[in-house]
Amino acid sequence: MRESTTRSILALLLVSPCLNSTPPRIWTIHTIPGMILTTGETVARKPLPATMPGGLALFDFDNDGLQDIFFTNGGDLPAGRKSKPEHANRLYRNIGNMRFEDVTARAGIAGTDYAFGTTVADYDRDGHTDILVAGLHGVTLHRNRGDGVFTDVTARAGLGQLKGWSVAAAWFDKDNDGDLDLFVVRYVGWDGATERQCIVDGKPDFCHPKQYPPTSNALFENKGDGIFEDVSTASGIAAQTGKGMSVVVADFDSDGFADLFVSNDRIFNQLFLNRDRGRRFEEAAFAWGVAVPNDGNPPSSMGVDAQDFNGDGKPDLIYSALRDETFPIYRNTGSSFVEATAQTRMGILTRLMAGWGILFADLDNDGFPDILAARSDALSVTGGKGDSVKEPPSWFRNRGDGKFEAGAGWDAVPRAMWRGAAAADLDNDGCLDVVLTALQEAPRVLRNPCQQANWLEIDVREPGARIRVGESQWRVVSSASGYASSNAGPQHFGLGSRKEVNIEVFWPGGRSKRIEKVKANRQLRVAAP
Amino acid sequence: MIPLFTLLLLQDLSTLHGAAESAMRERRYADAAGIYRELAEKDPKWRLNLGMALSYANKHRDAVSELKAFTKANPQPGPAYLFLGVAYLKLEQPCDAIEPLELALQWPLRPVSRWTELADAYEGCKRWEPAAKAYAEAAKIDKPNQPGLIRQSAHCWRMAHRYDFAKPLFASLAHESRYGNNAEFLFEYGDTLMRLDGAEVGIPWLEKAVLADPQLLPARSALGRGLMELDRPLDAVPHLAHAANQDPTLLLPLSRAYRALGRRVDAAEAEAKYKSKMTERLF
Repeated sequence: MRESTTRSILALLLVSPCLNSTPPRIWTIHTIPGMILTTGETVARKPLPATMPGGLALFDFDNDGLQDIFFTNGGDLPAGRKSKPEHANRLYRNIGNMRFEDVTARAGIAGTDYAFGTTVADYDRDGHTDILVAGLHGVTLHRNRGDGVFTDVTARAGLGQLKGWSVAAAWFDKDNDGDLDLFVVRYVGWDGATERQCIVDGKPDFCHPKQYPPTSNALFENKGDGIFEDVSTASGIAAQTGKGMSVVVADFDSDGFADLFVSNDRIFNQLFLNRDRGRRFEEAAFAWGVAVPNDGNPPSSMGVDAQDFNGDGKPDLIYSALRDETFPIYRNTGSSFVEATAQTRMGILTRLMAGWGILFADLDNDGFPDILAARSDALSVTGGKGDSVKEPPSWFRNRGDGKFEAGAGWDAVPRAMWRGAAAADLDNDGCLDVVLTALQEAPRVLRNPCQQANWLEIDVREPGARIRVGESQWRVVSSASGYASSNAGPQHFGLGSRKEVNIEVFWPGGRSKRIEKVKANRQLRVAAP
Repeated sequence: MIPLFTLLLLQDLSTLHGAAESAMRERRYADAAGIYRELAEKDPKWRLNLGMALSYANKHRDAVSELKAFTKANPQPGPAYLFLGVAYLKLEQPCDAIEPLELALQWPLRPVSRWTELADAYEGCKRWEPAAKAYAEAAKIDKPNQPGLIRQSAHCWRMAHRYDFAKPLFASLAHESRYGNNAEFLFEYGDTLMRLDGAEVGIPWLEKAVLADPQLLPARSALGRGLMELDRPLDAVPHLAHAANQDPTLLLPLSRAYRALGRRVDAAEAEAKYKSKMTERLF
């Protein structure tokens, strides 16, 4: 009670009166030309991978100060390969004013594997952000040369040995040695040659995940010379099986080392706590109360994000799921998670929804992280349920009193099979825009109408770093978020009516930097001391 | 001039038809089927009557065979599809009943029951949304059975997880005396309210459901979960413990309730049981 009262007062202080009285402003929809997210399904044949594409990444690949977009793409099924130009993964260079130039061919980034997810970070510390793609046959590492061209270094990096269906991945420094290691989320054992046919409401559709065996995730240690060593077994990661959909990285237990949360489809979620300075990971989802929601029913956990939504400095969790499962949200107490789905009203708001990409993002710059979700069912639009599987995307406004409410301004966004989601200020106007992918459609950018509130963007570019702005705004820099997606851009903070704030950045390993009286409405690059 | 042989045959067919009609009127369906079979051997158009007679004689498998043959030869909408669909329903093959019953709807002379039968087929096949819609259609025209059909529609919307559609239908019936003490109804309405509007709204109805039938496990599990949502572990434990034998997912909220009450040993035991039973089920 005391906490919520405090938060209410804080909300009143931070949100200017004109914000509360302003009618909701409409977000404009921009279609990314030249790309359709291909799935490889037909009306008669529904191989499971066809429902899973759609991860994307936002990052500035050419260091020109504008956030570019990388989209993964599907291919042929059951082969799981790209055989046509329209199957290509796509890199779009942001040329300003919501215009994007397809630079895929020049960048050499089209790929060959049927792809699902991606994670971006500068793994070799040469100042240029690199791309890792998770696909049906493993992962592909594209090194950014810095001249607009990427080189496939998968084999040289020792990552070619990973076989099988990878969905998502995260770059993170597991041992605080200063270089980025790699965690790969794997879904199920799947073989196109033996794929079964399932019928839902009288028509062929995707089979339930229970029809496929679970598998284990993979962990690779960066040896510092561009080579990665598979430490899945040695670290204990390989001993835990699941049906992984996405991963998020944060130091959940505040011991100074990055932990991992993996959302699993219809089986227990996994919380891998970092032990022995990154040498070992202990699966602790039950002990921490986050293996399944409080009702005991394992949901179809899909996308996931971890940020502090209640201003206590600890990274909280949310993941999306299918209809009637809600989008469970958890408060981190430092030694466990407490489910807050009912208390935050997210249960009531999301009960009838099915979601994939899900993110914390302060969309209205009021200083409280909101939640956005790319929605749709997992079944096929040409299956027995027809168009009812399509849903519109949604955002949920953080009221600042521990509760969320339906966000406004997205009514014009159509129903679709939305999958990936990421948020960044694409037009440098001080507000977060949203990029969404949808199966068999062109990606869309939702341009934020940008309310008159102050903001700050802090560019740290180091996964695992934590940033504090003012007294109670915290952000974890993570290379994985939402559904199989990634964002390496600056961290965005809404400041409401505040015109200057103190900031503090904490890097993995204990370094930190405090900068006082930073003026609002600017982007700030902060390098480690 | 009609040949003598044909005249004799027509007379014979007419006599047989008369005999079959009499048998049908007198509800001697097996006899009627025998006569229609004789007729059908001479002219396949009688397979429709044969199928209907077999259906009335509760020989549903034979009826299906005749009616399928008839509809193959005569695919235009007609009563054969209705009888074929009903025969499948009687054989407890609701998924097979759907197509003929959907076709029966196109027949211009539509008896009231047809929507109900189609709804039954959808429901039996667990196609909840079309079932809910079909019951709603049936309710529009079958006034005497309207409350029951609305109830069925609400039930199917609920099963389709469309609580938003189910809620107003349940609400429209909530004050009818026939449902005032109906534990199943009270549970479904209370559970719907809880999911849509929160535990504090649904719990009063769930409490009524449990009062009406303390053995109704879904009501007790929903009530237990709702009470936990409202942070009332002491009240939740009896309901969760009662229903957990049938539904292992309840062992987790039960464990959390025990933990909240400081019963650490019971909490650990319930959680271990949950993990073991659910691992068996999920992996």
